[in-house]
Amino acid sequence: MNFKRICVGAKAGALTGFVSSDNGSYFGLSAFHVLSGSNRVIDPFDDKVEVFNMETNRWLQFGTTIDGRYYKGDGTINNFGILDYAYFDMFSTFKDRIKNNLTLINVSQFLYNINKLTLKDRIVFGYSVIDEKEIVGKLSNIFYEGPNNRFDVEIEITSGHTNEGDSGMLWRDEYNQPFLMHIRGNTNNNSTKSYATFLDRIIGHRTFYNYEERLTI
Amino acid sequence: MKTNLFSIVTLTFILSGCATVKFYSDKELTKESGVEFYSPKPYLIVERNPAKDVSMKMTIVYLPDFNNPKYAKLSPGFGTSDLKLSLENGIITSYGINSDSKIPETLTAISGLVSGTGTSYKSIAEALSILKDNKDEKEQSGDISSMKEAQDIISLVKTDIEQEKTKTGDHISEIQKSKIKQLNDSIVKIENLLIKRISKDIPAIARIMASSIKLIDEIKTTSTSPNANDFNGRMETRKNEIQVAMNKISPPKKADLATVEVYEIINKSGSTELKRIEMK
Repeated sequence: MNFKRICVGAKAGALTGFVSSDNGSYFGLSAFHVLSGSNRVIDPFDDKVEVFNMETNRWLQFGTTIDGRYYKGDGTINNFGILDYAYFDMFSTFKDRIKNNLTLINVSQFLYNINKLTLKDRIVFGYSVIDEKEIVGKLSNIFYEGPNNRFDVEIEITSGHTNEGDSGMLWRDEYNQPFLMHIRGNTNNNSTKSYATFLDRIIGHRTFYNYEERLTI
Repeated sequence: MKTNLFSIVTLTFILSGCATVKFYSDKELTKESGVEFYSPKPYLIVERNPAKDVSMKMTIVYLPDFNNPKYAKLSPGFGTSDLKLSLENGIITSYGINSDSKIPETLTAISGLVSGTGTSYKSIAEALSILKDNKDEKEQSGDISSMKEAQDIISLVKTDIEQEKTKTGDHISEIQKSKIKQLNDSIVKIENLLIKRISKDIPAIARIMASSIKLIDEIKTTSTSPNANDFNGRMETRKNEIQVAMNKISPPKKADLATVEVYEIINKSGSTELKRIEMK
């Protein structure tokens, strides 16, 4: 099963990946403004997460959003830009099957850099679930202060596009390790810029997992 | 805003000879005050589609900065004769004094704020660039609610058209049957695209819907038999249903709607920023 696109009600986005808590529970991760639905309020009884099976062309009931955070950032080095993430619990029918097909993956070594400003010009790689194509970008600004919002990272897209519906997408570093979460930017809209959040601010010390394409549901 | 306090558009104070006017901040007239006025603060008004063939209109306006009131007080050293102080919406628009004293530089500076308007921002092009950046920063989750609703309608249309394919009768020619099959294929295609709920597919889906509606008109028979009338009626219903689905996914383009945005123009250390004012 190729499952990368998710939606909650009217809001569609991309599955970032999976994280586990200390007690071994697994959760799906994406942007808050996707997983909280149109009303932007997390309600486990209301925010039903659907996942799109691209092989069968069907949306499946996948789980419910349980928690998340939307915070504008205070402009300080360790808490600079927008935090826009939430995670969801999977229905029991998926839980074991997902769990057995996850691959533990270490987050980017660059996230351990004491001075993140040195990460400028690093190349990053994403995958648009809308275009179903790879995206390549360059970190054009670290700790970017826009007209209305602050972002940990501004990315200059050099190949491919980020689209409406790609929110939550995972950016990987040049070593293919999880690095950033895509939270803003539509480069089909006469722009070449997208914006992302450092993954360590989102998952903290939780372990990040990637899912395997071999999974069949 | 406190605009109601300034319903009198222009207020002119004329102080002449021995006649004096004093201002008080309390009704008991115990706390003498100066004439309250405000510095002008620049705002950019962006009107999108304000008129036919006009996609954008930008205007700089100056409104009183209510957060920073200033006070003018008449004092003997200020002048000896007539003083005219004109305010408009709380902002000094002109002043004049007939005296032998020199006009204080402070008042000149204040007046300069009014007359010097239009130069506190770098360029409209820069402002537009900033506006464009704002647009890019919008959340980009796909809004798929209309596609879900359209899909429900199209799924029903598909079922009906599939049934139509199996029906036979003298009123339907082979060409019409071929076109019904063609219509069915289009509806299946529309449904498959709607299921994916990719909002950027909407223009393509709308085009297929429009051609399907056109195709239905071609499918209708000219026969006047009761079967033919029923057939045409069903086709008309399907056509209307597709039109409803099309309307669902094609709301009035945002670009066609007249909208007004207001931005505060902020100059900080030589750079210009536009801060959007949220309308509440």
